[in-house]
Amino acid sequence: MKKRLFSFGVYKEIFRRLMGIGIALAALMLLLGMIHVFWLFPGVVYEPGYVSDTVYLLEPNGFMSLLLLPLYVFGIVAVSRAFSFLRKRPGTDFYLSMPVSRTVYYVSASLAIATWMLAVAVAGCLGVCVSSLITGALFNYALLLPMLLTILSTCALIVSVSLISASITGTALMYLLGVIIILFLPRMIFSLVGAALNNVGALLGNSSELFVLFDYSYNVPATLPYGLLFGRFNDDYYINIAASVYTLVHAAILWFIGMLLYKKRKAEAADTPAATAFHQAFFRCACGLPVLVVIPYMLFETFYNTVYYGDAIILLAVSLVMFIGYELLSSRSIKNLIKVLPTYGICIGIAVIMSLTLTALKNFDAGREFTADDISWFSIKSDDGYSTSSYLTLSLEAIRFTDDELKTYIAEGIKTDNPVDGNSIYDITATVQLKNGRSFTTAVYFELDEALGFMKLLRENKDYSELTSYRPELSDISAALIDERLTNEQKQAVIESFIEECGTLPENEIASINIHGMDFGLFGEGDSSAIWAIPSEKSDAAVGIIVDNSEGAIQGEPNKVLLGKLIEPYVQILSIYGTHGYDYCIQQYYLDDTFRETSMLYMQFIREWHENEYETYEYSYFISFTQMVDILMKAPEFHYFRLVLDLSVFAETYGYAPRYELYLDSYRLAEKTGNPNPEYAPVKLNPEYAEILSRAEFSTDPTDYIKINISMLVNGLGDYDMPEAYLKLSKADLARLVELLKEDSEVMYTEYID
Amino acid sequence: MIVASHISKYFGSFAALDDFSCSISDGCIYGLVGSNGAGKSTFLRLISGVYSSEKGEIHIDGEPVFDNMGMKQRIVFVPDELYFLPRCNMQRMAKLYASMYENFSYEKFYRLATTFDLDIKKKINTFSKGMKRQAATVLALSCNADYIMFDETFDGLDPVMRNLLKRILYADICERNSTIIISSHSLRELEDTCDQLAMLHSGRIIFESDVMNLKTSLFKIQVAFSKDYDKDTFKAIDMLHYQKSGSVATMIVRGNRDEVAALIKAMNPLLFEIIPLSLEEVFIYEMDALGYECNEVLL
Repeated sequence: MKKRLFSFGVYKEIFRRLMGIGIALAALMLLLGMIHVFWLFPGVVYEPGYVSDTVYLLEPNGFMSLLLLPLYVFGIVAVSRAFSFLRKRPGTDFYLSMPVSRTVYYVSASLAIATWMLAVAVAGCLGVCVSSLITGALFNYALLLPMLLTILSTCALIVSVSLISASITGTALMYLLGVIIILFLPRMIFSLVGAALNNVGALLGNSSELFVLFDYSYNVPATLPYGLLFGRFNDDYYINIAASVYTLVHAAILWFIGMLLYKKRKAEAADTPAATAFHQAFFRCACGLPVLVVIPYMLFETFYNTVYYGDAIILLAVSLVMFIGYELLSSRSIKNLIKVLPTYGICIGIAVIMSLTLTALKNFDAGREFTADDISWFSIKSDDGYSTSSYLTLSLEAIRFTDDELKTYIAEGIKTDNPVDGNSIYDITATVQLKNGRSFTTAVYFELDEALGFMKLLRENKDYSELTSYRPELSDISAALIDERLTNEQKQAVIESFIEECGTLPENEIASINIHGMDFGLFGEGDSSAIWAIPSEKSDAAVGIIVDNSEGAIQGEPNKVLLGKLIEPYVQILSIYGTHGYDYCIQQYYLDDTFRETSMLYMQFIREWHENEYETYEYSYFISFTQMVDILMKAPEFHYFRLVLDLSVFAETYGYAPRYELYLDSYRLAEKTGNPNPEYAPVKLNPEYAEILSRAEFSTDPTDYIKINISMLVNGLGDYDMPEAYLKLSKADLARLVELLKEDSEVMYTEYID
Repeated sequence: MIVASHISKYFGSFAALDDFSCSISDGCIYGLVGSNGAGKSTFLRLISGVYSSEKGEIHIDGEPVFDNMGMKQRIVFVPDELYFLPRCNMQRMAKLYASMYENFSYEKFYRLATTFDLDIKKKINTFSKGMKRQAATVLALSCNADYIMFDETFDGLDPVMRNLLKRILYADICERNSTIIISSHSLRELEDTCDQLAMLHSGRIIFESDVMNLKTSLFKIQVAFSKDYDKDTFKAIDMLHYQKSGSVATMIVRGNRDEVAALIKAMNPLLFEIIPLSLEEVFIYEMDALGYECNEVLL
């Protein structure tokens, strides 16, 4: 008889059997694909008639984790249903006596599962598209393919793992346990070994560079729990073509292993925890291992320079309990447990081998020292915490630094230990090529002075200087300004003005141009030290694809794929960091005289809004400044009152940028006065606040305004917020306002932020 | 023809079949009888390709069975514990069988379902135990397989249905020269059904014979003489069992009935009577002769 690989009969039967879970999960995915938009933008749901003049962006990274979660359920349940007969003797008799070879059943059932898998994945993508169409939220349809690939590869891996588990287990509980162990245990051990390797020594370099298996982010289904476990949760992992391809190949290999195991499976394994004694031992040790292998990791983890024996004993005990727990749960026999207890030695053995290997590597590493003279060149890898690389990262990596002084910094920096607290030191990741032909990638640690010195030398480097002094062709920039108070035309005018003024900035004025309003400098975002001097993007890679508000401009942009990694094709915010420490960001309105024209234009639009448009503003609880002052003058008392006074533009006068925040509420006041009932401790505000503010004028001159923000709950009247207002006050009024705030701070709660 | 040579099957340390050998010729109804745990179901699962043996080989017409799609087209197995797809009716089950068995006959399926008075559109899980077995039998027979295995197939059937099923099985053999293997722990179930019987005990065939031979080869004799006599008086007779109570002796004898009768009549007995044995009695005495305690082997 002709050998076959596929049976349409089996395919049809399994397809039909999975119809329930398939349709349910496809519907759920469709809903989840849509729910993201409605969740973020409730106005769409609650006010169907409302048409926003603001265009929102649908970024897949924002909802991929939501779309990936149901796949665990689908994979596990679908395989369980297709191979449920393996767990019951009657079913096993029935299917294994049928004229269908095991290979044919496995292939046909897998294809039926894959069909539903495709339906589920397409439903998820469809949900996103539908929500985009309904709400008008912008979505780059070119991202559908990578999205689909991510969902399919994730689901395929979960299905393959479930197939292996189904092939070697004989009860539902063990099947589930098997999936968890096979899916997560190897990844956990690799991650722990990788993390330990990173701490073993500099010369060994970064584990993820050594071996892709050490980088958990490549395994998409493991990314979510491991990302959470290691505190590096980031949705960017979910749209990563390299990771998807890796996951798909991984799934294919496991699928094939699953087929071999299924072919080898004995029918009598039904209703038994594991198919063979070997599998039983495997599961037993797999339950004991995860906690136990944390001990070798602790040995090399910086934080635990000295292993706390108490912790080690607790881990050992927990591991043993899990080992025993599994055996008791599966075999339900104490006699059997006593018999197999010595196999716990396998777990101990693995932990010992792991420790000895790491120790050997550490000793090997310690025995290899080198000086700057031994370095042929080095390059810098900007680790921004994202798996997707920016143009800067890739450009910077391409520069081979050969300056002797820089090499000295690197050689010394490699010898510097990673500090325990991690705060007082700066680090970069460098790839070092030694003259003896060896190369490695490792962390290099600097003290603050060293970091500043290193950066100074770096700026003097010709290649680096060329890279960082590069400024985009401003004509290429189109940017989004998300501010509901402005019309599209006004936004466009502000952006155009901003871009025009960018072009007039001196060459050395722009330190970095950012996307997402964040900067990923060499030493990490949010660091306000002067060593922020890396441009995040260049115009032809990222700035050039910054989004504008016109739908077509976004939809028409192709994806930028560099070296197999996807760069997001658009961003929401354009901001520019200046070398003198200020940042200029349209979105956050931090504009000063550098962008005088833009600022004035922007202020003018805001003022118009305050005067004319606020009544139609979508958020009804916002009131205008005029109304706020009116309430302040009339309201006798408040439940709470909050006033923020930002004097940052007067930095030169004050020598710093003060920001006063007066926060009063009746609860705190009741606490202070010992009044048990907060309702009888209303906040009474000095009426002089209202008087001063009533004399304020809207400013269109950014060098002459104060930023003010007020929110309050007026007894019996309700809760009010006021958008930030930019006001002009006379010097006398400003001085009095500050004086009042200082006075109030003595009797009431005041927070002062430098 | 099914040939099993020296097959062994272990479940852990328990030997379900131990150096088991047999051959089953085509076109017969072969009965497997033995107590629970004797190895009947294991043997059927091995022939059906559900299990693979640790030692020895099973061939059907010279081909191995395990994971052999071509050979499995010619085999259908109705296990003791029946399996049906969840919430399905006979029609859907028939579709599944038809998608896998090339010779599945819908005509036969409808005919047999009508014969058994089964509603093919009704959910099988609403059927009684006997109806479920009938349904499984109908589906199996509709596959037109050359080798049909029934494990405890009469379990749950009332006498009427049992007879109906037997008639259908005979008809199937007559029509298609199929081979049927039936297992049961009750010899009475198989007595009037099988052509050949094998008794299994502790994973081995301890006795195998043609049913007709069995029934005629052993018989009981009651005899009495006016003179004194003992067991040695009957040395010339192949005796499996001898018991004397007063002057009357009862013997279980193997051999030609006429020859034995002539031999005893020549001794001028006061009383001489040949009593036929039931198949069960034949088995008991044969087992006894082989040194087995009958209670161990039969229920």
